[in-house]
Amino acid sequence: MKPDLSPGLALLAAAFMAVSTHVLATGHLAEDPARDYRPLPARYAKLLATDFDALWADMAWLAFLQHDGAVMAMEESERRFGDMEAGLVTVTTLDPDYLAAYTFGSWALGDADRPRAAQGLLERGLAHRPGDRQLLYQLGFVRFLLLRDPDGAIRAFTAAAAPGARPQDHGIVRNAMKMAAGLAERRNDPDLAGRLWRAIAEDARRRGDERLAGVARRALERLRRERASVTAPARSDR
Amino acid sequence: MTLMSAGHIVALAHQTWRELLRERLVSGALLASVVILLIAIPLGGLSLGQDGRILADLGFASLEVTSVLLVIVAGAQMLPREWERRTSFLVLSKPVSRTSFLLGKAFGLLAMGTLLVCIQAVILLALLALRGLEIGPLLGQLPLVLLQTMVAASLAVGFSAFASTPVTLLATLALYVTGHNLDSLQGLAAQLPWPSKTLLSAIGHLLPDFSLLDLKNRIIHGQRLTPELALAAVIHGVSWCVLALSTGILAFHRREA
Amino acid sequence: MPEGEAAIVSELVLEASGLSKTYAAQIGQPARHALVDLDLIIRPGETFGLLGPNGAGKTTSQKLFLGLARPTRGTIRVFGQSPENPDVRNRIGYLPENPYFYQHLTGEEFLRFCGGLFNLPRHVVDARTDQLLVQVRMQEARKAQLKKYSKGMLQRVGIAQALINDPELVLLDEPMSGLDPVGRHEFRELILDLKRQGKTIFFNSHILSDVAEICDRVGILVEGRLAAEAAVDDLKRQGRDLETLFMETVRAPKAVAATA
Repeated sequence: MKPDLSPGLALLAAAFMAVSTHVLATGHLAEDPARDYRPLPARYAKLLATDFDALWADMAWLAFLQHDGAVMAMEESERRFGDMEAGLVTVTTLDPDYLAAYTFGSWALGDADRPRAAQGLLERGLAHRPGDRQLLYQLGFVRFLLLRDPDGAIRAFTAAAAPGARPQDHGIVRNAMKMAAGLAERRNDPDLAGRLWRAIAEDARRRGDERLAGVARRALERLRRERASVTAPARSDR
Repeated sequence: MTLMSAGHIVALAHQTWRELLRERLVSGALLASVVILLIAIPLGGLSLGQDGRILADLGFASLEVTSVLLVIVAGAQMLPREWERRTSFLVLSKPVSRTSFLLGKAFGLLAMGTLLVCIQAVILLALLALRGLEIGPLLGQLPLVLLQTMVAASLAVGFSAFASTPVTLLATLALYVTGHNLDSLQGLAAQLPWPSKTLLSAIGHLLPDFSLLDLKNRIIHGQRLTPELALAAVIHGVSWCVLALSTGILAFHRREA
Repeated sequence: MPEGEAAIVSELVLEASGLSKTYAAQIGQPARHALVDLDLIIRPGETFGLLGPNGAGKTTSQKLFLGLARPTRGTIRVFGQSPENPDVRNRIGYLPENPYFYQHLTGEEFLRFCGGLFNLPRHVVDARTDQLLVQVRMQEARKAQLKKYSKGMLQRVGIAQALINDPELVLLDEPMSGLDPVGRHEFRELILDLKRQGKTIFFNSHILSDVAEICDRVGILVEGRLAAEAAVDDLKRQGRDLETLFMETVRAPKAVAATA
């Protein structure tokens, strides 16, 4: 009796179709990361999370990083960033304390030439974590480097360096103070710059950080000289 | 008339425990959990410095899901299988009350759920400690997972006293999922007109609140299990266990061979 | 109740009066009258065989005697009490039909588990387990899981569990079904041995030769009704055999008068 080959042929055909569509999809369809990256809108993600919000936030974060990495690996002229904001909003809706999503996310949005979105993301984080020094520090950089808003940056850095920091935030406070002092000096606000450099010098002396104390001393000396050069002609006028 | 006997309950719990162990359901669940943890480690490496957090989130999620699913699946089959295989005839032909029978089976399942939670917790905490995470603040989630497992097991056994395995599975899973979404349910109720609003809101209050027995979303950010929260969780969890098992016992007394 | 009557009642092991069981109609299935107006008395030390074709209500009657099912009508007293009282079952041993025990247990674990359900002290359970495993010739397979047992081995361990509490009343549901001739012979010997020990035995069967050999009294159930009841010795004296009575009863149940 002749064996019936039709089931075997059907199986082979089905296997061929399955494998070839997969190969085609990975070879061609998946070339565009922007098209591949379609984060689940935050409100639906929140609704579906069923109290596994932190875990889904992790998954959304990993998906965002994969997408960002894929885009950044492309030639600059070919980069298509897609709806990155939506991905970050999903992560931070699921876990409003996801600090890395705010901080790294704002850089990634900066890379995508979306400085307003970067600022919006950090402000969204600050609305949930008012006074968070890490977010304020990052906001200072976004305003300074991406938005070219040194005054706004000074306000953010100064807020990040506000008194009453916990020991683990002392590093941020010091760096924020240096950034604010440097920017204030450039913006011709010698009073604020002087106040900040004096505080930095005092802190550095207390901690025995000679190098930073020297930087602060030189900055104060510079400020004093500038002030003297501004006030000297006025005295001769009298 | 003997309503309940500690000796019978212990004997039946021990038999159930042995049955679950020998059926490899537990080792299967443990294997699944270890595989998830092993996936979490390389996944954490892709997360830009969030590896500890991802291990903790995935670890606590898999701890909860495997434990709860195990007790739901095992609990849903437990009593229907006893009827189907007629092993219940054998036990109930002895001086065992139906209350003792159901409680014995339920306690065997609860003991197995506890063992599963404990083994997974030890593995997870060891991995987190190796990664340098401070595990002290994370410990608060463990008694809560245990409570969730107990409530899920009691619901499954309670339903299985009068419903078939598929119906029990669906009903218990539905209660577990809804119990984790009561906030959304109340949100939905608020958008509806009266009387649907009042009805849905009331239903929301009458369901087990699994979110109350859950800290995993906040524990990574340092939220601890406060005495007030612990007390509320224990009272809520134990009440639901008693409610589910009592309903099961009442239904089981009416059931005939 | 007069004193003398009370004494007689208290002697009875089992008493069913007007016992009926109807299973409610379900989708696609009409209501089923499994047992109709059963009146039955079993005295201490008696061996009673309940005969009947498949579906006649034999298993249902045992379920009612054990409190596993509730009668639709009528009453049952076992040792003078309701079978729904778990304490009554301390005095009963039961072997279900086609026993499907907890397969993951070994023979020995299974007997200990059953002993534990009678709240017997540990040393008593251990001693009874050892003794019964020898008695049913299962001592060599005691450490093997029940899932590895043959039908005959399961039946033997089944009777061992029914005897773990040294019961006064032993209920056996089709104990010979599925056994080979050697197994049946051994089982018959075991039941006769119980009979010699003075146990009250109630068993369902459709194997007439076994019943004739073992029982003092038989009843024949047809479509849920006790169509005939007779003492085996009376039948012998009348020169009638059980098979003839059975066939007459099954073919024309209403025509055969009960003979006690």
